[in-house]
Formats: sequence, structure tokens, C-alpha cells
Amino acid sequence: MPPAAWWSGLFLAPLLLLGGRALARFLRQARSDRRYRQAGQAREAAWEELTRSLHVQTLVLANSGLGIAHIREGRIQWVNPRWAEIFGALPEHLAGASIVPFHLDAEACAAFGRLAYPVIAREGRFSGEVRLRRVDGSLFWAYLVGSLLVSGRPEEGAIWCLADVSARVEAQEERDDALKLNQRLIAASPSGILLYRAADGICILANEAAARIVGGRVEDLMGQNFRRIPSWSPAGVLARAEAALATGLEQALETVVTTSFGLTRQLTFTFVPFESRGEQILLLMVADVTERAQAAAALQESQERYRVVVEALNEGLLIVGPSQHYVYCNDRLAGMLGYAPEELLGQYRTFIVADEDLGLLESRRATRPAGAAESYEVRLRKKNGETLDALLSVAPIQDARGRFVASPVLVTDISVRKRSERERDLLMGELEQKNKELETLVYVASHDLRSPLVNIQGFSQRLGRSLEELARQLESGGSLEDLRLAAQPLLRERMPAALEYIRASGAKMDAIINGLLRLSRAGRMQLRSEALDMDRVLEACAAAMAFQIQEAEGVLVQEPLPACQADPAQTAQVFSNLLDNAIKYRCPDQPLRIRVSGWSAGGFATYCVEDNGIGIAPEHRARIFDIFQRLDPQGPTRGEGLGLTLVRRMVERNGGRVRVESAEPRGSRFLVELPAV
Amino acid sequence: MQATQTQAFTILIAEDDDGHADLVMEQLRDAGVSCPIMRFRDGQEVVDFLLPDPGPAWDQPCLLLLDLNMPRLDGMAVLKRIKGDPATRAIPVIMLTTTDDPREVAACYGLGCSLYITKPVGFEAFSETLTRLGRLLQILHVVRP
Repeated sequence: MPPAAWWSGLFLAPLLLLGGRALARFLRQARSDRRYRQAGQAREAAWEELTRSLHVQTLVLANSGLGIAHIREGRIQWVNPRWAEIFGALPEHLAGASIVPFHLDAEACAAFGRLAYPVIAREGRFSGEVRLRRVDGSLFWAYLVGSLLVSGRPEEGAIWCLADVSARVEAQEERDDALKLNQRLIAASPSGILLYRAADGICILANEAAARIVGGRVEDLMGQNFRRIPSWSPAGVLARAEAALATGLEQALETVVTTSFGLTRQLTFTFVPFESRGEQILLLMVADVTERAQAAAALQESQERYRVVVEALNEGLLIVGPSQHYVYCNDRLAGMLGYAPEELLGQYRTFIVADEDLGLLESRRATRPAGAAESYEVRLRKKNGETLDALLSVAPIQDARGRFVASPVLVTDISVRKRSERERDLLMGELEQKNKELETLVYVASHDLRSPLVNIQGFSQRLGRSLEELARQLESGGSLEDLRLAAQPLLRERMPAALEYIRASGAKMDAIINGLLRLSRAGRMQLRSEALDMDRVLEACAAAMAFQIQEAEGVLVQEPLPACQADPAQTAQVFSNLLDNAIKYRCPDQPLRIRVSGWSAGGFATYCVEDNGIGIAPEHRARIFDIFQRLDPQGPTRGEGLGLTLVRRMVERNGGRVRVESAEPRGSRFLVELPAV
Repeated sequence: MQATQTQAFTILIAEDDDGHADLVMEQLRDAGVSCPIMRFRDGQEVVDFLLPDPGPAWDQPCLLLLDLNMPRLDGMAVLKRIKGDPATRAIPVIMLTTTDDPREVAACYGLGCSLYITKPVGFEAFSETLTRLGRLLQILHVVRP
């Protein structure tokens, strides 16, 4: 390394010193020389001159900014204060010390000696930089200049001047390192880096990446004039480059260009102008973003498609994050539940699930294999407390190690479907009921209608046989008396009895058919649902039956009754039938007593018609509401077995229920439930 | 054959319809059945007769023609009672009814009835059925000790 110019003046000091020392020795010898002793004034003048010179030299030694030392045979003979200062010691402590500890190590010390002394011997002087050690152990860079104390006599040792140049050397090293790093960075950079001279537009540096991006070689790029690159001008790249140079500010641009080497790429250009050694330089960093741009376009397209799909499906979307809280929900979901999206974000994953379905959801979740997608039909809780039937499709996402990442949940509002399912179930129930009734009717047709038919057929045949018998008697030519005797029982007993059976059977069939028609009408009749004052309804029923009740020596007790919502005509019919039954099936051995009471509960008004009649055995209770079931048709009461069937049918059509219980100590208790007002 | 005929053997008919009872009895007589016939108007009457409470069960040889659809106690309930009581379990029961619902037929056989006969609407068929039944009853009458 060449010594810096600023301290070249200091070289004079050692020269002066060397010259001074030689002169002093010479003068000491001269003083003893008798010839000079006699030299008189000239000698005095010379002595004065010499003394002044010595004084100067002593001052220089003491105050020099350079460390100065005499070193002989590897030992320090003496040092000036600066030398000691540089090493962090006192001058008197250094005299006589070995130089080895002041080098890095013994080897470095020997190597320095091997390098320096031959040069000194050959050229009289050595200069160089070496790392030395201070007394406190720290290292520093020293610039050393050495010369022999006495020319041609190395055994006299050498005079060494020393300057601490650490700061300069370290700065230089840093600069070197930075330069190397820069070079490596430029070479290794995935971005293309190019330097152009502003003055003539010539490329003075290009890296491999730049060559790769444009599809050429580095040497093709070097020397290229950026102002003459064909694609730059139409794409606006050249304008940016010139703008950067004109303003001194960085300029950037992303565009699609076809390079000089025929590649069409989407590139980003960043121009950075700067000055170097008085020259304006344009730095260009270029990156190929073709794939990124394509990927971004594809991503955007896919996101757009996804968004369109989700919105078109009208589905709610919810994402449960790793902490089991909602991290995303779309507007549709929030709207479905009546929340604002921000009210849902951050809530725990079961926040929207209705309490009654929480257990179901958690147990299903616990049994499903980790990470498996599944769907649940659950009720959700809206903000206003209502529930919403929904289908949750959950597809948990796991990372490569099976850890839960997130769970997108697609929420479908299935309340419409659920409502129609419920309606369908209701309809199915009604249909089943109708079907059962129809089956009962078919059963009735096959049994109750067949039964009188058997009689009609049987007694018609009997009539036929009686007629044959009469004819035979007439044709036998017997006496009139014989004929009368034979015909009498036929004409007076057998044939009228047969005819009576036939007539009764006909009447029975007629009654059955009428009953079926009435039942059918009760089922088809248009209902008029209104709030009914049941006290008045029952009073009217009782008034209409007052005669029968009086005839049966009965008492009807009517307690205050709650109102209900039903068809007035059918309701009156229901209670008339029940009162009629109570009268019909009374106990012959005690006065009839009927009590009507009522109460309201759970949206229904319940009416109780209780009697002290013959009652109904438990095994018959299930059948009494079936069509054409009579407990005792041959008994004193008449009936077509239709009263209770009609009661049930009418009560059910009005949205109610009817059942029978035993009354205490005997009798029946009919309970009619109708919707409350 | 003649010896056994002297034994008292009663046919019990449980039938709520007077016409049917009349026709059945006449048909059985026409078919040559000469043993006593007793008619009951419903299930309760026949149960009260066979298993009087209080009193000992009816222990004479008999056969029961049982209608299904009867008031008070229906045929099925009667069959259950008779087959469920050791004193009456051995009585042969023939169901004679207008119902031909296979479920009821199966239920009756399940409860232990000996025969299930559907009353046909065509009277010729009915009388033929009853005539065959009469002959069957005569055979039963004969082999019964």
C-alpha cells in the first residue's frame, strides 16, 4: 500500500534524526581531535551550529507524531514518547523489552524480520504495514519504516518509525468487503441489474439475471445503448429512464415488452440514477413477473369465480380459525342470522348453534374422524332468539402434520325445506288417518253391509221355498181344509217373518249408507272457525234435549266453561252427541246425572262430559270411536253406531282431540279438547 | 254309531243377528243335525253360560259357532276366554262370520279356533256351507266319546 501523501513530510524526521546522530558522533570524535581544538572561531561556530541542530533533533524526537524506536537484535534500545503511547506503555518500561510480544505471535515476528531486513540490507530502507499488539493485547495496523542505524552494520540495529494506521486499513478493508459483497450480490441477484452511462447510453455492467430475463448473454448486453433498444420506446420504458435521469429520482414501471432477444415477458423496471466519479450513471433493476402476473390473474379469476359461486348459491360462509373462533363470515350468513358480520367475528365456534342442538353437534363432532368433512342438520339461533333450520357442511383443513388449520363451514338455510317437511309429515299423518278411515269403511262395507245382505238372500230363498210349497199344495188337488192347514203357517208366520227380516235388513243397509254419507259430509263440510261462548253452546244443546233428560228423570249440571275456537255447528253437534250417549247409556237403576265442566291449559280448552251411566269397559274404549260399533244394539237404546265416530271426526277437524275415561264410582267421562281462543 | 248318538251333544251359537241365527239353525236342521241348539245374542251371554261367575263351568259336550263382530264381548274376546280357561279349552270353536280379513282369520287360528267359515252373501253358497258344516258336526257327534 502506498503511504498517504499527508504524512510524507514526516519522513523527513527520521532522516534528520539519522543525519543528526551521525553528525553528533562525528562531532564527539572531532572534539577530541586535537586538530579541531585548535581551529579557533571556526570551530566555535561549528559547535554552536551543532548544538542547535541537536536541540532541534531532540525536540523532534520528543514531540513527533510518529513512534520512533531503536531496535537491535530483537530488543528495544530506546523509544520516543509517541512510540510508547501507541503501544499503551511508558517509554522506560519498553527499553530493553523483546519485540516478540508486540507482534501477533513469534512466527509473525520472525516472518516480518525475514521480510524486512533483506530489503533494508539491499535498499537501505523498508516500509510496510503489519499488525502489531498493544500492551493491553489489542491489535492495530502499523505503518513501519525501518533503516539501519549505521549503514552496512546491521549489528548496530535499526531505527524504526511507526504510525497507527488501523482506522485507514479497516476502512479500506470495509470498502473492499463491500465491493466484493456488491459484486457477489449483483452476480447472484435474481433481479437483472444493469448500469448505463447517461452520457452515451452505453451499458457498462450487466448481471446473469439480466441476461436470463431478456433471453440473451451478458456480453450481448454490455455495450448496448439503452436509447436504441427497440421495445423500450413504445412500451414507455425509455420515457421512464429519461425521466429518472432528468429528475434524479427513482422511476418504476411494470409492463409487457418483447425483448431484443424475442421473448415476450411481463417485466418490472426500476431506474435509479446516481453519480459516480463525476459521471451520471443509470442503474436499472429488472424483474420478470410474468409467472407472478399469470398466477395473480389466475388467483383473481378463481377468487372471482368462487365469490360468484358462493353468492349465486345464496349460501352463508363461515370460517372457524385455529383458535376455534370465527375468523370470517360473509354478509349472507350474517344476514341469515340477523347479525352484523363484525358481531360474529371472534365468537366461539358454537356461538350460532341453538342450545337444544349443541349436544347433538358436539357428539357428532366427537365421533367423526379428525379432518373428515361432514354435514349436520342443526337449528341455529338468530340474534332475535328465533331458530333457523340449517345444513352445516364442515370441511376441516389440516396441515401436513394433521394439525387443525381452519374449518370453512357452508351454511344453507333449509327452513323452507324443513317447513315443507313438517307440512308433509302433517299431511302424511292426515292422509294416514284418512286411509285408516277408508279401510274402516271398506271393512264396514264388507261386514256391516254383508250382514243384512246375507239375511236378504237367505230369507228371499225361504220365501221362494214357501211359495213353492204353497204352489205344490194348490196343485196337489187336496181338500180346501188341507190346503188351509198347510198354507196357514206359511202365510201367517213363515212368510211375514221372512219379509220382516228382508225389510229390516233393507232398513239397516239404508241406515248404514246414510251414516256413511253423514260421516262423509262431516269430513267435507266447510268449517267456520270462530270464538265460541261455550256456556251458551252447551245451554242450547241442553235445551234441545230437555225433554229426553226429563223423561230419563235426569239432572244436567253445567259449570262455567272456557271459550274455544271452532266451528259452531259441529261443536254443537259434538256435545249433542255426547249428551245423547249419556242419556242412552244410563243406568236403569239410578237417576241419571250429567255434569259438564271445563278448563284451559296449554293453548287448549278442555271440556269434560261426565255421567253416572253404565260406563265402558277398558277393553272397549279403543273401539268405541270406530264406525258402527255399538255396545248393545239389541238393548233398550237405538243407534246406528255413528255418534262417537262423528264426534271424533268433528273434534279432530277442528284441531282438537277426544278421549274417554272411567268416571267414579261408575259411568263415563268424555274429554274434548279444542283450541283455545 | 247309534250308541254314541244318545249322548247329549249341544251346539251353541253366539250370533247377534237374529236373521243369521234363524237361517243357520234352519240350515243345520235341514242338513240332518238333530242335537239341541242354543242361541246366544252376544259374546257376553255365551261366556256367562260357559263360565258362570260364580258357579262351575259348563261341562257337557258341546261345540261353539261363534260370530266375530258382536256387541259387548266380540268373538275374538270370547275365543280368548274359552281357550284361556282349562275348563273350556277343549270345546271346539268354529268361527262363522262375514269378515274374511286374513289378519282376523290368522288371529283366530292363532287363538285356537278349529275352523273359520266366512258367511257368503250368495245364499246358495251359504246354505251349502252350512249343510257341509252340518255333516261335519254329525261326524264330530259320532266320534265324540
